[in-house]
Amino acid sequence: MINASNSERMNQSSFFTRLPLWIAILAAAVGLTLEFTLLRGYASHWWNHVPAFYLLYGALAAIALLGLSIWGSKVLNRQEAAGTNEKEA
Amino acid sequence: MGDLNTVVQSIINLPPAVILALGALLIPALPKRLRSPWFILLPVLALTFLWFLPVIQLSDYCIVAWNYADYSIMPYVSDNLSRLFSTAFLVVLITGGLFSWHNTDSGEKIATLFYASGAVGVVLAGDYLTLFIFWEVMAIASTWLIWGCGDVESGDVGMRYLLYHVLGGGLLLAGILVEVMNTGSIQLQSFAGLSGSDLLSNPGVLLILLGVAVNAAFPPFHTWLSDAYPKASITGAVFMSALTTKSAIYVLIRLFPGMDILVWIGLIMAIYGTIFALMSNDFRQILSYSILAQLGYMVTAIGVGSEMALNGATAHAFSHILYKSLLFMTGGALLYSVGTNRLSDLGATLKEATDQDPKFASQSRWLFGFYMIGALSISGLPLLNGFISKPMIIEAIGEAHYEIAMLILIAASIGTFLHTGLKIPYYTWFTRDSRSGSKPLKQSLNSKASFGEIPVNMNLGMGIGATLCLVFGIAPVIVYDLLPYNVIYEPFRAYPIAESLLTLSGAFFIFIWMKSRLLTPGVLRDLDTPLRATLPWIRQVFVDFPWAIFEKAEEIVLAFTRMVIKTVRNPLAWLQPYSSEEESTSTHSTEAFTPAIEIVIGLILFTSLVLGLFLIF
Repeated sequence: MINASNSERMNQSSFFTRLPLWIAILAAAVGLTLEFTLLRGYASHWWNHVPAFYLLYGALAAIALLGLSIWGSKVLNRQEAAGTNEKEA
Repeated sequence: MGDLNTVVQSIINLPPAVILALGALLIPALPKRLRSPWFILLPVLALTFLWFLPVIQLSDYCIVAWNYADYSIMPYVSDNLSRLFSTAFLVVLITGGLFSWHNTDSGEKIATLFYASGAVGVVLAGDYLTLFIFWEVMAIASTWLIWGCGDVESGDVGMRYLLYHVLGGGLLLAGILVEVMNTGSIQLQSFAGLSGSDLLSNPGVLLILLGVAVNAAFPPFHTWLSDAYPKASITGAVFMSALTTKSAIYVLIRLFPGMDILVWIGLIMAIYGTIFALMSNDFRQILSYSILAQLGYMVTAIGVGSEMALNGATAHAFSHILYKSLLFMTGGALLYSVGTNRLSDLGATLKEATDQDPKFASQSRWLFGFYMIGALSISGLPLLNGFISKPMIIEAIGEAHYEIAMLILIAASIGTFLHTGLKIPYYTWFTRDSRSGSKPLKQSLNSKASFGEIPVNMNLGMGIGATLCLVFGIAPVIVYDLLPYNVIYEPFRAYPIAESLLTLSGAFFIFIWMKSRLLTPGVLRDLDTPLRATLPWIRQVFVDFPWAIFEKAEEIVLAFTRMVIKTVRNPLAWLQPYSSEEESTSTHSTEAFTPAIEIVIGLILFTSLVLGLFLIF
């Protein structure tokens, strides 16, 4: 018996799909709060003087890595041989 | 009485590796229903022997030793470093044993136990001979786990895997022989103080490092890892993710602490593994490349070589064994239940599965939960076990003033979050229309299994693995107390927490922006592509050509033999000018005339000539 509502419930629930975004926003807020309160004036490396460095670095590193991987997968991916069976015996 | 004491002492000092190996030999004799309990009982027994029984030790370090010729063989040594590694191996054997409870195939269980025996034997070895023997046991037994799938592809993959490890074993043996010749001792001795530039003047050390490099997956020797692990059996991959590379990391910590070249090798591994994981389309291949990236952290820390860095490498190996085995369990459970690990198929396949089987929606959520605990652990989120070791390594590298290395490792950590923490779950659980269209769905599914039938034991294994990630993440002191060096480290401070939260959230926002462009169906080429392309040529030169020569030689020898047999089997036929066979077809024809008559006539003429000459003279 096909029950389409199962996948739809899991798939289309706005709470379920948007939750990670809210968690990420909360995590960024907590991180920035820590940086500008408890870690104010703390500097063990040169980049500690740059405000919100780790948030920016996270974003820039992600752009660089994802960009490299998108380009690399175009160059290095080849068509899969037909009839390849993944399932183990 | 003295003999009894000796026997008792021998039993309580039985090396855990021997317990596993002896237990493996008994498995064929056991009924099927007892094989899985026995498989789990053995690591429990080995853990008991490891932690509680060796009360009579030869020294703080050595538990069992023999003298052979001029050498002291130490098959069982134990300190914090070796105990922590072997404990992690045995814990994975227990959780993996639960995960594979339903699989009563004696061959796979025996291979797994020998494999684990090899890994535990390596980390408890005090001499090169023991190390090498267990190293090879590990290589051969793990190959059987790849061949365990039984299909043609896993046969080829297993052969490539074996070739790499035979090469590594050969290099290691050569290095050991050179070192033993130079030092006269077979005991494991640290090469601390040697730098990368000293390697060329110490060929033995260089060869040992190269041998270990194969198992530790240093590029370009890493391709066996991403080639073999995705093709290993569902349960075999869980053990493989934990044992081979981490036993090599143990050897690096033991023998090569502070070797500067390892810092740069580790950084290459971290970035290389991260980028290739981002490019891959296969769930378990992404996890395999992710192993390479995580090994990069450990190798970099070993290269730094400070006490905190070595503690960090050890703690990270321990954490990695736990969360990576959990991730491979979830990948295996997905493969078991829906028949595919391709990200381009998983979304649609899971949709079909949840539509066909109402129970599967709930099971899929559980799988997602287990997976995310492992994925967030490896990403270094606070309160999970990756966080207790990754910041320790980064901080130790910073203390050693490798600031560029620090930033590269933080970038690799961001990449880990992108591929394992975001890409895999997004394309598996959140995308429902990502079918590659490369082949009909039904072909990729096991027609026998209805969706959602993930056995209880698999869930139990994953549940215990996830619990351990949480427990060690919340109470890191359990691991810290077992680390080799007494260095105080507090992970729950504002700085590492802020660093982790900010980098991961920054990466998350970018992923949301770029997520739809990250999937390229297909097979990823790696550094072994040229090697694989030349393999047919190598085969022609070294296998087919000699084989053709042997075949030709065989033909010539056989033809000659046939001729000799035909000629000598009836010498009287020589004197008969007409063979009986030929008489029936062409009697008295010139073709039927054999040379034997010429010989007879020649002999008569020769005799006449000799007699004539004799009479004349």
